[in-house]
Amino acid sequence: MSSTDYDLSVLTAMFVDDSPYMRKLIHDLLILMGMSKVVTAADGEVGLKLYKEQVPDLLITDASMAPMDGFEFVRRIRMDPDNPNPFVPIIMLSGHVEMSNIEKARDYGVTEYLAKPVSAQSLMTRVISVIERPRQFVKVGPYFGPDRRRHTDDVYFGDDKRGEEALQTQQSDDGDTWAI
Amino acid sequence: MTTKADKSDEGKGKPPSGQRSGNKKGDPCEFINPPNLLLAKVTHDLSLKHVQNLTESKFRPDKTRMQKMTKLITQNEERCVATLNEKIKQIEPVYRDLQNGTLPAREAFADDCKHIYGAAKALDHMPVIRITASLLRYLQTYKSDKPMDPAIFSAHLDALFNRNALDVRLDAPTKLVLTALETLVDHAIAASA
Repeated sequence: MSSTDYDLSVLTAMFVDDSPYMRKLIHDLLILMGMSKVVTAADGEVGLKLYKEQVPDLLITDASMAPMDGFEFVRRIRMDPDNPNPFVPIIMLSGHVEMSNIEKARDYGVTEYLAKPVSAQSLMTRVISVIERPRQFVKVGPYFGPDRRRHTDDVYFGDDKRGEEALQTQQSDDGDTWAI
Repeated sequence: MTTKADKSDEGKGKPPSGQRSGNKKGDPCEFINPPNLLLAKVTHDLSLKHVQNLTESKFRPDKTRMQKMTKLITQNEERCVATLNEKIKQIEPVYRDLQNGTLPAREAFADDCKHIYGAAKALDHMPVIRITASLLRYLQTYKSDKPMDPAIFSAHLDALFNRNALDVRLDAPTKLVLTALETLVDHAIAASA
């Protein structure tokens, strides 16, 4: 590949947030990044309808909205059998940065979590990350979404990663980070 | 361009198809690696759709573009601060009227609250977000024939006008104030149902 840049103009993005100021900001930022089409919606319900019509390549959503919040929106995107692309990368943009919220986002199938206030660098990094390093998907029990373990453990190769044997191995290994 | 092969199965033995390895307890896992269509699209190179982890990025952010983006964020922030202050100033007469027992016009007041909520959300001002969200919930959900309670409006507006005394990181006293307001609305809505 000779180009040192990506042609983001071929991508369609969608942003869901109930704040008109945020919708305008993220829309304009994504356009400035080079995307040619950015669709916006004010809540999860409208977002879901628009998603099925437009089938964007990338989704960015807020967490707290009414009547359908960001979590339910993500769950529906991942689980709805009528969804044209359940593998779509989803970035959750939220001011709620408590660990419980991040874990909730992860368990609902969010690909990346981006904390407010958003910066040009952080938005760009997340978008490029979902392009260059897409997450493996996993279907286990009621969960379907990106594999919640981000990295393969290079130290432990056994079967039961959370078992006693594995934990003993991991005590000397600080390098393993978890998804989101 | 260097790429990293998917090593998820390496060194772990061969798991049965569609299941994690061995006869372990728990639900069976099915791992799926969808093709990387985004990378193929942005590079116009279909062969890259098999790449799962690009270890050496070829993306070089354009500095001018980044500066424009940063400027846009700053401008938006300034616009939101101005809107927030202006709209809060606009609802000061509502507070004065409440002291005389006059309730605000529901729809117009809800519109003002929505503006404040939207601007606060863009600024990530958590106390104002929660105050206006609670107020909006009261305005939009209260269904009783009985008139709305001026004390609930006053309590929310008091907190809104004294927003600088509240901690944007939600310290314990701030949480207490916000939770009290939300509980007031919960009770009022429950009683009106």
